[in-house]
Amino acid sequence: MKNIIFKELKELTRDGRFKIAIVISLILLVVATITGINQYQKNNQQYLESAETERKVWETQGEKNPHSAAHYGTYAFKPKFALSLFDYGVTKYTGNSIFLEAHNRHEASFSEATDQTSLARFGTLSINFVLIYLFPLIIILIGYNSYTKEVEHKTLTLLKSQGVHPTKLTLGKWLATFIPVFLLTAIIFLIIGIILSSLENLAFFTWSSLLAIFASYTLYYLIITTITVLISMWSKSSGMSLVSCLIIWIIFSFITPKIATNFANENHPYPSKSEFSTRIAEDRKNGLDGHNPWNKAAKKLEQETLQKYNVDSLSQLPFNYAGYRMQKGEEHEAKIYEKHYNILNEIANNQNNTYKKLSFLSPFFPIRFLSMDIANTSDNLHWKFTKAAEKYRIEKQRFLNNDIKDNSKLGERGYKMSAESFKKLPKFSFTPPTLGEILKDNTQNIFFLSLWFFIPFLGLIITSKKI
Amino acid sequence: MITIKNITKKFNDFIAVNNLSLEVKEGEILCLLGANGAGKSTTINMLLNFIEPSFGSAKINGLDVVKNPIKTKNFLTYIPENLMLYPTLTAIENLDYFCKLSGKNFDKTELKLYLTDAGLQEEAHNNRVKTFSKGMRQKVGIALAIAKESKVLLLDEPTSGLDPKSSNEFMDLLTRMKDDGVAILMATHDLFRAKEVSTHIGIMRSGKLENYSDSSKVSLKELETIYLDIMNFKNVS
Amino acid sequence: MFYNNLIYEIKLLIRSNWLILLLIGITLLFVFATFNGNKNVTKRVNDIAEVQEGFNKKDSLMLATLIKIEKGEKTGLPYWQLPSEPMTVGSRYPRIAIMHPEALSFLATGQSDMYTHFKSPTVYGNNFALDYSEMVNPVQLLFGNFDLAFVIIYILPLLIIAFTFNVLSKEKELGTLRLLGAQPISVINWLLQKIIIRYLIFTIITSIILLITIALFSPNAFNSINNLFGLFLLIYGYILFWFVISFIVNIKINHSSKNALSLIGIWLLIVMVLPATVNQIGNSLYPTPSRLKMINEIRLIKKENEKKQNEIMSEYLRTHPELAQGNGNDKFGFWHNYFASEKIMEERTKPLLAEYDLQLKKQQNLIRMFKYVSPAILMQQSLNNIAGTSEKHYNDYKKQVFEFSNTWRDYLVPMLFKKQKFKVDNYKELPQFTYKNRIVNNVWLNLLSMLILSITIFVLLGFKDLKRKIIPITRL
Repeated sequence: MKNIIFKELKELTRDGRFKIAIVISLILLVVATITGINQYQKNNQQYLESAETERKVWETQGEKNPHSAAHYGTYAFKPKFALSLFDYGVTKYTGNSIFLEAHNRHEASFSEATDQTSLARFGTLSINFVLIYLFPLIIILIGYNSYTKEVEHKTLTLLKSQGVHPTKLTLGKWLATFIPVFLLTAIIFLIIGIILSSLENLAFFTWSSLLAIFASYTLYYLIITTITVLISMWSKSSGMSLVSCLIIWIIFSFITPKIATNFANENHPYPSKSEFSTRIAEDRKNGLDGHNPWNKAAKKLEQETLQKYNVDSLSQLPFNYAGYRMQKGEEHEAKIYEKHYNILNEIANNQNNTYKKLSFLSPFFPIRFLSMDIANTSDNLHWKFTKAAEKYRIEKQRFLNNDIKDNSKLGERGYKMSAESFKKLPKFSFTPPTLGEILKDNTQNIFFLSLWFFIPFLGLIITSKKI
Repeated sequence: MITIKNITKKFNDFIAVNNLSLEVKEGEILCLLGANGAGKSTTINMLLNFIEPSFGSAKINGLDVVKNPIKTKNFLTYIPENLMLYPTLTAIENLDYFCKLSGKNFDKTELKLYLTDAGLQEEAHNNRVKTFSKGMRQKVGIALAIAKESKVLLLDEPTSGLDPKSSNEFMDLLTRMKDDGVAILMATHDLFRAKEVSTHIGIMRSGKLENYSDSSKVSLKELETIYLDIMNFKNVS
Repeated sequence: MFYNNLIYEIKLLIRSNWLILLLIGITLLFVFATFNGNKNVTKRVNDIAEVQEGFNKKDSLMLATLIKIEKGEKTGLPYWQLPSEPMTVGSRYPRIAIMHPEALSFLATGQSDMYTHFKSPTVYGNNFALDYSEMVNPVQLLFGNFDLAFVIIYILPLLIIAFTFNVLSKEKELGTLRLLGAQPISVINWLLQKIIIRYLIFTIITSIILLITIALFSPNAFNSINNLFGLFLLIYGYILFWFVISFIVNIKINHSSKNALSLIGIWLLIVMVLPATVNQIGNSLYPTPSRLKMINEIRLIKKENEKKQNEIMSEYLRTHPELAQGNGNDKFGFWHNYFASEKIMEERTKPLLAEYDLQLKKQQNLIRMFKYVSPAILMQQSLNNIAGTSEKHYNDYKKQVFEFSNTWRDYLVPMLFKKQKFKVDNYKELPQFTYKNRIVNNVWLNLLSMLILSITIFVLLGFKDLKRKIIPITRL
């Protein structure tokens, strides 16, 4: 079998097309890496500066009414993750900052894509772009004629007459198709790892995540290799084999994702922003359950509080009831937001599940989702970030409202919180999920990828015996 | 009709045709004999201007083929070793297509006449060519030559792979065309048929014309001896 | 010879089933894409209709209240909710600025999936910095839509490649090329004719199917006949480009599977690699100005301004203007102070935002220059322009909304200061927003650039062979 692999590889190194494809891919990779590092460092710098400046603005706002400060608000910034340099994922389409103020939950605003021209919709050159689109093409280029050339040069019968075991022959050709791209990918990932670990101010880089992505891509390449060799076995001529492989590649990576988008949109449509805010406004008006609006609930709260402390009027309470009520109101509003954002999240999950369910049409889906999930550039991560920001917003509101509750008197108009107190608000920090959690979330994707590998591979073994 | 003067063709270091001169007049058939790689096909390719000669000139009907690549083709018909036609078109359609490419327009009855003339049985006229044997396709080629009223016929091993009967029919057609005053140049391996049909015979080796004789003046036996002598000489050197 | 070639080319194509295949393929793709495009437009129209309905309901309610007030009847509303107060109208009953789809919007999703198509700017607040982004699953934006633009830009070239990659090499591999070479014709001219014939067949099929599809699914498009005409011309231009490429590859390489590989390579380069690379390099060289930095700067300004604003009015009321109580002079005083305080903020942040927008525009214009790098980019921009879904359209919509919000504010605010009540007559003469498509679609310029590009490639790479008229046929 070694013999077969070496022969195939030798033929390959003498093929001009293979060399051209490799050279072009490498040039693109270098460009992608350099511009990627450049952008990463710039964006990361901006993130660090913005977060710091914003905190300083918050801490130095001086004596102020806590509720004014709540409206003045603060920003939560999304950190730049190390592997975003590898796979940009959906970062371009999600905002990087969320405004956190009283009463309102805001969307992440200012996505990069809305600031760019429609050229951005063609996609962006990144390392992942080359690995996910171009490398499968190289595999096809290597493998499309692995069998048909033997048929065309009539060497297959000669080979068979030498007593080579057909499965060994197949595995040899299969490995020979896989090894070049595998080695290339391994080197690329090693270089990425070395570059990343030598960058300064790097957030959340782990070799294990990088290794996980490498493993995912390796699995994807195994799938493409198996399908390519299988097609080569089934085809009558190299031309047919090439055309079939290319068609499959195009269907996998271009057509099915777009068709899936239409499916997802059709079955689980997103509400428009105005529809969404109208629903929230309605719930705010009528109460969460439709018949218990806040002004009613507030009255109830008042009575309950009076009863609990066994006093007749609010001024007799041991704290400022205004702050207490405000906090309760805030929690009430936050619940409404939570309900609607959960519905939205549900729709997003349903949409993403539509994509994932269509994985049986194309292994491109599982690898795409897996890659950006591990790189922390997926919309999953964005949801986790928005939820963390909301949690922080509620925490911030409680901090400020408690100040009113504990330090001011009922009906006191000019109350101001001391300048020093603002520093006591804990900083916003967001930690991405661990690799284990990510992989657990992605079991379905991993399962589909494995299925995409095993079934064609089985076909390969069975066909090899028939040829 | 066909005049080749001191023609040489080099492919890098390899000399395919070496200072070759020959002439085929109207009503003559020159058969070029020789082993594979002797330069027979290269000579025909140069007459068709598929290859440009390194030195020397080739003329068809007095016109230099390099300077008049298109005009000279009005006078000639070429039948390659394996004449291929459009498989999804019928015999008539194929003939019509190539006639029109040569600027000749015929109606269906005329086309049928030419095909019959070339010996293609009538039942096959409306069949798609994909079902045709090599001999049948060649007959369409000859029909094209007749329809075009070609003055020159260039044949590259036309009888290889034909069964004896088809070969025989084909040779009869060539004789008829010769009698109509067509100049024919044919490259072949078939000594026997060459002797039978040709007016002149040339034997080539390593791009050179080693022997040129009048067919009527040599017997088949003598021809075979000359041929083998020339070939053996190659082996010795 | 041309007529002869035409007749036989069609005959050959029909007998090889190619025409049927092409017909079915293009029909399926176009129908599916148009259907999808239409669905997106329908969703947009429905969203707009829903908002419009809600708006109308609210408006008629307001009108009814106004009539009641004018008749002197009781409304049962608190003071600050009465629509007879101009500021209540300004804050609670904003007009709605709708961007209706164009007749050809189904053609290209463009940027329409990222932006909202309706906005209600209120009389107070930062109307120059509204957020126009729409709620959308970012994964959808990443994968994109299966619309006509996708079919035209990505798939048509592939069909053209499949249709033409072996025009010459097939003759060579079949063996007919030798016979053709022996005819008194220039084989290059013959090939050129064949390619032209296939071009004609391809464009005719595409045009007919597209016309029928549009007539069936989106007859509305015929109302915009100029744009429709432009669309067809652009498609012809784009198809021409790919036929030129295919012609060049046919004569330069002339080997079926190598032809196919080269053409796929070129396709990949033009529709994917070049746009992605240009995009990435462009953004590295001329980066989009950082929004994070902008946020920081605005926050600093806000902080600095607070004192000044506080002198004018208490911060609490500033953030809750709807809660401003009081009658007559008090009310007047409140709004007066409010606008004064807002104005300070606006005056300070406006130059910053303007500068930011300018920077953004410069960057976008520079990036837009890259469209000449690849016909696919050129085509995408043209189709978006025709569909009215390009970033230019949305930028202009934002501008129009801002202009409108000023007109509207200028109508209401003087009423406040003149202590006028808002009446039914005022309602009738309230400024209304109508979106105007003010973007020049540049169809001719883009078409011209595509033609120039095609001709340049043709002349530079193919002219020498055309002059020679002969293809080296040997070395088979």
